[in-house]
Amino acid sequence: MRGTDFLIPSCVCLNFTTENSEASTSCVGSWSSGEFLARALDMQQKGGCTLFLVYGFRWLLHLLLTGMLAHLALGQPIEARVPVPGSAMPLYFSGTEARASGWVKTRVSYMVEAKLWVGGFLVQHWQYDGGPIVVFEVPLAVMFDSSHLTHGSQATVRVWGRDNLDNQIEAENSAVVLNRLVAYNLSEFNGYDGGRGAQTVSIMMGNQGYFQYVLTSGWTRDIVAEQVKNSGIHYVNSHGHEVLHAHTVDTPAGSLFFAKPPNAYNYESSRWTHNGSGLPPFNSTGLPPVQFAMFDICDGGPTNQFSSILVPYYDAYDQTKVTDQATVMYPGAIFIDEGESRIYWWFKALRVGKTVDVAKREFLEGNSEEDHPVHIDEATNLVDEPYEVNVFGDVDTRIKKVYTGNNFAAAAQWYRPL
Amino acid sequence: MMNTQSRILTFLILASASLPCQAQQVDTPAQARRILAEFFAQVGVGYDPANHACQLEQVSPSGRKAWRLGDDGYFGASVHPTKGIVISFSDHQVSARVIAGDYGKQRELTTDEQVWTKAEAVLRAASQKAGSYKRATIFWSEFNGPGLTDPNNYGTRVSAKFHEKVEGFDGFVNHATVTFDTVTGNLYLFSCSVSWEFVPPARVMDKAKAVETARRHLAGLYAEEAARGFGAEAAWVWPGDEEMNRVLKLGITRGGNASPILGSSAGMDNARRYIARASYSYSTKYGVLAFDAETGEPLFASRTQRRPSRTPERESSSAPGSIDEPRNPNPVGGPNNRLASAMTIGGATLLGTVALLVWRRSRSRHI
Repeated sequence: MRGTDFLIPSCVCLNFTTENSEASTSCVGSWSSGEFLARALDMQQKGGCTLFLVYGFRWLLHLLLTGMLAHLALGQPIEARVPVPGSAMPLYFSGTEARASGWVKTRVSYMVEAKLWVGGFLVQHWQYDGGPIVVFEVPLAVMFDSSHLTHGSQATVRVWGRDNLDNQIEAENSAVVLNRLVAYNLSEFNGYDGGRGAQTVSIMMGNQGYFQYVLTSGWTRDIVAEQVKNSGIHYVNSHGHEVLHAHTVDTPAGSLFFAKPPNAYNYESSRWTHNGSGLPPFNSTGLPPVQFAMFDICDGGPTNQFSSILVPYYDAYDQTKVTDQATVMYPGAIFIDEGESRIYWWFKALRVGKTVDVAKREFLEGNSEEDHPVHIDEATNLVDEPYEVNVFGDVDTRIKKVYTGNNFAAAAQWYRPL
Repeated sequence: MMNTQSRILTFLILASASLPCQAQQVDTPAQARRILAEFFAQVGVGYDPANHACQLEQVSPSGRKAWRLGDDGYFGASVHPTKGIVISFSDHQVSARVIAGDYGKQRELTTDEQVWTKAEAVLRAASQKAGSYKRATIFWSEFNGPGLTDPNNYGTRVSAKFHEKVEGFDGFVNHATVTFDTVTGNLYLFSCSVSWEFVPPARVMDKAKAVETARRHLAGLYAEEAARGFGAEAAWVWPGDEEMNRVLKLGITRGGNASPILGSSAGMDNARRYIARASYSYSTKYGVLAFDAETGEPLFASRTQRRPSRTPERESSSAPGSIDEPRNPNPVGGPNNRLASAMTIGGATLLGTVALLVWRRSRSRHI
């Protein structure tokens, strides 16, 4: 988003008629104060002391009048806002497509510099290029990976601007950063070499900006229903089926969590409850959606039942398709002692900012008997064909580095201009 | 008579002696790039490896390395460092090109034979062992449901699988998988194994002895795992002699689990040395067991993450589909759906005909 560019209009030029014809047509509106003073000094050399005094006096008068007019008639000569006019401040920053913006505008001159910071990091810097085109307002906006900031902190968005008369202004606003990793491991799997999927996710995603909530035993369906309120990354390593997963196998009654209604314990209803009304990041509860979910369960992925965890599917910026949200599932039998290998393939790519699409391709390409083997259905059948692991939602989803809508990383890695 | 270990050692010495005439040592990024450039030229991939990063990476916990190229949003590829062949490739831009304008276009690949021929050309470009890989399976992916995988991917993938077979045994030693984008005909994904060597058994135990061996191993697994809960019981319970005799299959197992099973590390040792062995395997919904067809040593044992069905929870499942129902083999637009559609259309036609007759009769009365 850029401001409208203008050529200097004649009405903006302040003409000063002096006895020196050279100065009579000068358009001082485009000069800085320093340049004006330099010109007065030049007059002194050419026309003597009187001319210098006259010109200098007019210059002082001009500054005084301009300033008074600006203050009386127009209020502040320069103003700033966060976010840009016409948009609202998000209730939270979550995921890799968080948005921040700021705006500066001058009323009596033109802008020469503007900056935007997110969480103390300078993410946009605009400067007047000295050419014939000037702008009177500068909107600055970025999309950024909110996991670059600390979970739970108030991230300040600050905008600052300066016009050619050296008027300076700044404004700021803030929103809370919410990025969590919620992972569950069936306690029965903990005793297997390779069966500690949740623990491996926790290790691989350590120090990546995600607050971790990891349970390797004792998780109930009430806990799952509650914690899905704000799990940016959601991982389940358990027994399962196309429409449900378990957290115990010995107490079947009440041990199951479903993808969809009518069973009361299901992802779809839980997510609608936690979302409230409206779309992220302006939904009424102020709780972000699940960005990336992985269900390490058997038969979870022949259909997209479990993609119900991505409710409400859309955000306030794009209501045409699922953006930067994805679910991964397997359309067959997977093995308990390969949970850590499955995590290895997905998160070694995701944690360095690759998309879900690239992570899947690298998994299919690299999976081999000698390197973290992952099989499906049979002990000899490696997962190496596209239909042997399914991605539902947006294949360009990332959990690190800013979302770009394709497989290429942004130049600045964690943010990009909008 | 030589024991198994001696024969394996002899085999490895002979195999390694024969390697230099085929192998091509790759010592520098330039060599790896040159090999990949030749591969790209032969299979019609438009990237120039010279413009992409290349480094030697460790790709396995056991220390195996490979030259890794790309990984920058365009493509990823690996070159074997001692054999000098391309062992994997994935084009990260194929999908993007489909989105950009090829979606809806008539497919370049429409028949199995087209795919096999094209895939064999990829194998020849990648590996000296191409001739030993035989056609195994082909699968056309047809994901086009709402929210399913790539929303712009309307059945644009086809995967051909090749197996390096050993006469007299089911299964395979090495394998290759080639996947194309069916719209553009471009190579989408390629991976092949080249390191596994089959060490033939001196003698294969007969089925009766194999069933007895399986009984012993299942009892051991049950004893070891039953304490873990009902899931283990379901996986390792003895199915009965007749059922075991039916399910037990003679085939090939490459390596084995990464941890000792029932006190044996044979599978792990085989994996470290890239040895494939003749084996008997018992595979069910809840678990897989494989053991050496000559020595009886367990090679592989693993439980699946299917939820065992003791079924009182069935009453709590009012969600779509029965809990223990097998997964739908045609999730989207498959024959079942088509049959349902045909029945619906048939029913509607019948109703329509009856309605038309009634209407005509009523009209004729008025006339």
